[in-house]
Amino acid sequence: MVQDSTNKQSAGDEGGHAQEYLTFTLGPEEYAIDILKVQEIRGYDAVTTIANAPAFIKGVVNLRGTIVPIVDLRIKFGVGNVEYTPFTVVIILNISGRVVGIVVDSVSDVTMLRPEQIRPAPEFAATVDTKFILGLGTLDERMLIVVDIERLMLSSEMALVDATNQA
Amino acid sequence: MTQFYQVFFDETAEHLNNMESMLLELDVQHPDAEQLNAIFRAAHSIKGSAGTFGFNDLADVTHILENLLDRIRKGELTLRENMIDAFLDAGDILKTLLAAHRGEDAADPSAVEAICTRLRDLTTNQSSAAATAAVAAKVAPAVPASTAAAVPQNGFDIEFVLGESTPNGDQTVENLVEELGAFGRAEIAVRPSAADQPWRLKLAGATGSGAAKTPDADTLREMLEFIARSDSIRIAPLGEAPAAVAQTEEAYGFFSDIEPAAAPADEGYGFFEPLPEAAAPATGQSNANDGEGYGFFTDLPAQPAVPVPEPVIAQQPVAKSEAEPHKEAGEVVVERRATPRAAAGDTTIRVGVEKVDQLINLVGELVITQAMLAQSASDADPVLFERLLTGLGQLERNTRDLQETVMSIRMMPISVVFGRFPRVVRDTSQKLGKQVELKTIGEDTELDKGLIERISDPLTHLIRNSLDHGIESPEQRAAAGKQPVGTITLKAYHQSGNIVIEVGDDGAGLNRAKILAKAKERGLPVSDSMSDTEVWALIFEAGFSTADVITEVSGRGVGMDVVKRNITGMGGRVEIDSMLGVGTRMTVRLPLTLAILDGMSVGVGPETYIIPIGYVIESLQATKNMIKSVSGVERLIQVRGEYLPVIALYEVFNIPQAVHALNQGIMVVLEADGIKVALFVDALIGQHQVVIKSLEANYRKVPGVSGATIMGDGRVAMILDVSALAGMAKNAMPAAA
Repeated sequence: MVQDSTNKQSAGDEGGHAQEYLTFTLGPEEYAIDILKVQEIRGYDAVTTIANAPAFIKGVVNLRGTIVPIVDLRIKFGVGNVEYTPFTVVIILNISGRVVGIVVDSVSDVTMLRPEQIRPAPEFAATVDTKFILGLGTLDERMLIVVDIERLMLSSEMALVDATNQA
Repeated sequence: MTQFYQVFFDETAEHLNNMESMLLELDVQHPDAEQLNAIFRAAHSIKGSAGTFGFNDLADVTHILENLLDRIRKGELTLRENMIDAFLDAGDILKTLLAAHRGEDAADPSAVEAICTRLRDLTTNQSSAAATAAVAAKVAPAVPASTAAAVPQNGFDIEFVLGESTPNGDQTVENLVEELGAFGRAEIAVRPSAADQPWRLKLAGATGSGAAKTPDADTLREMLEFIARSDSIRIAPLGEAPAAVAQTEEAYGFFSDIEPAAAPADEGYGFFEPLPEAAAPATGQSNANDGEGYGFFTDLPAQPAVPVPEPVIAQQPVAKSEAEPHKEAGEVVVERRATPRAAAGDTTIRVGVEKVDQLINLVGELVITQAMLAQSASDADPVLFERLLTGLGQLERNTRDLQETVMSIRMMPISVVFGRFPRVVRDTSQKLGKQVELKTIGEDTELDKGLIERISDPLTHLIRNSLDHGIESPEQRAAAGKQPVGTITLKAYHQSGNIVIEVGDDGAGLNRAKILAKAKERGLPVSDSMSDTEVWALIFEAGFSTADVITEVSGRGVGMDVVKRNITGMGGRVEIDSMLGVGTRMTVRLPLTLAILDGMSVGVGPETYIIPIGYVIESLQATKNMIKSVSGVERLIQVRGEYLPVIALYEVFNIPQAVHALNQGIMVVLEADGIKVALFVDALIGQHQVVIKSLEANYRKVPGVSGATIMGDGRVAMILDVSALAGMAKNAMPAAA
């Protein structure tokens, strides 16, 4: 499990309010999400498709007795090669009690980011609405797209929740 | 302490329910002594734990109730019908008090006061004679004051085997002997050599000054049951005491008569220091309600006012039995009831439902893992891997047994629900001036706990409805040539994966003309040619009532629609059969459980779907000439003279890889909500019992799918929502393929 791995960046944080983020890649892009929302990371295995669901909802899997929907973020964001290999990774998120899995290209590491390291994202046209982007984190030469994963997953765009129980 | 409140609430509610059902069973003319004792014990347990937890209002009411019950069970008062009424009402008050402590509506103090007064009146009305006798006994101790039937004995020979749960037995027994010393001279006659050998104790009668009266065998038994295996306890009397002496002792409760003239108070302090009031045993009834502040010993000071054949100390262990598990057991409380009958075998554990559900989930996982292992081992050479395969076979059997057992945890007998109806019938029929007898059949029928909780309200409503509209008044019944006493029959049984509950009455039956007239009046679309079934269904319309007079019980037209909605919400349905002048029968059909479903798995392309088997009528392969087309599209099949619309699952769920030719796949004929349709699938796979999982917990509602389940190979399969699919045939027929 990646969240157990040691934190390489922890030495530099004296700001006090640094938060831990899990970073993953979608094609050439690097994304960061709040690690507290991550439940576990597992491989991609047989999903049961859901009829008439959007293409990025791959279906549902059995996670130790719980039925968990799987979203392929690569399809949703339109980046990366959409292929399923034994190395395809699913990040299982726990968002306000709902368990959802997201398919990504690979998981990189767990990173500490202080608030001042995260710059507000400029308005720009993207496949993802910028309202779900908390900011852009800078780490050496890398740019991390910090995503408000909770808001994104519960949004009507993801079609994961009934219109009636949307946050 | 607060963490035990929930246990207390549950337990008290259970005691109250037990008490109520026992009261209703009680034959007023010839009350069964065992039943009276059981009722008394229930009241006593409530009082004991209420005192312990500091719910003094509960303890107060129960205390008075208990006094009255105590005197009845000893034959000092004769049981009357109005007492039963008072007891039942007291039970209700206790329930409201309990609800108040739970943080629900506050109880009405005046009602509490009223019931206390009523109970006290009942106690005192007949008790003056006995009280006089008690006073007389104080003055002249030789006069036998008690009419109670306790057989005086001066000692016992006691034999028992320690229970497994009793740690360091020797110490425990010595403590017991010390405790028994209060009654007389107690000693260990035989020490066992091994733990499972019996102990023998000798208890000689009250000899020393200040010794309490010798207890009766039941009291000893109750004490012993805490440490010994209840089936191993044997208590035999040592010999006969002089009758006069023994009886005198009884008048005092627990004071020796050795020095009757001396103030008995002094001696009382010897043993019961915290109970100074005990010193004045005969100060009369007025004392009875005073010293409530003593925790669960509240009853002790009051008791001496009433002649007690048992020494009061006997009640201490009873109170303990309720209190101790609370302290030790945390969330899971092993319930040990004071009732000797119950103590023998009927022990229960209280566990949170979520724990059970978790257990069910885990066992489900285990079953899947087992299936996976079996799958991987199926290719193994049976000669080389004989032991492995034998082991796997055993694992399969064990897993299946385990699954069945775990599933049955959630199942409860429907008697839990039925048990409350005698009271409903009794109260309502009294209110309406009708004579009604309630018959219940099939109380042992089991169904899921979740359903039990939800079925109770609709059933209550159906019964009240039968009472009010069904059963006629005695005069009307006599005029119609029927027995004046009407009968309501409650019947539960299993039928093809459903539980069926029938509420039948032999009353007036539904009046077709009246219902139709009423429906027309309300502007509902009805016609005289409607079938009976359709007419009866009208009474489920919101606001529909044919009652001429609105009564307190029903007639406002609110309810039947709610009943129907509730039952449909549980996946069940209601049917009505009725004949004018003969009676009405409401039949409620429910799935056995909300969690498990008998399903038929069907394949469509690469996907597997589960059809709840209750909807399946038959499945067949359609031949070319069965398939009929309407306006150029093959949309109907003819099965046994009926034309059924075809719903192709591959169209509904958009699965391109599936079989498209109607004569190559399988037609599953389904019936839902009175509509018959043929569901077209690729193949039948098998029949399974599946655990229903919510899809909505982490995802959302999918049209045509009611839930999901996990198959033997660990994959998820969707459970079809047959009603919705059948509805699709009627409404949104998909465009031709």
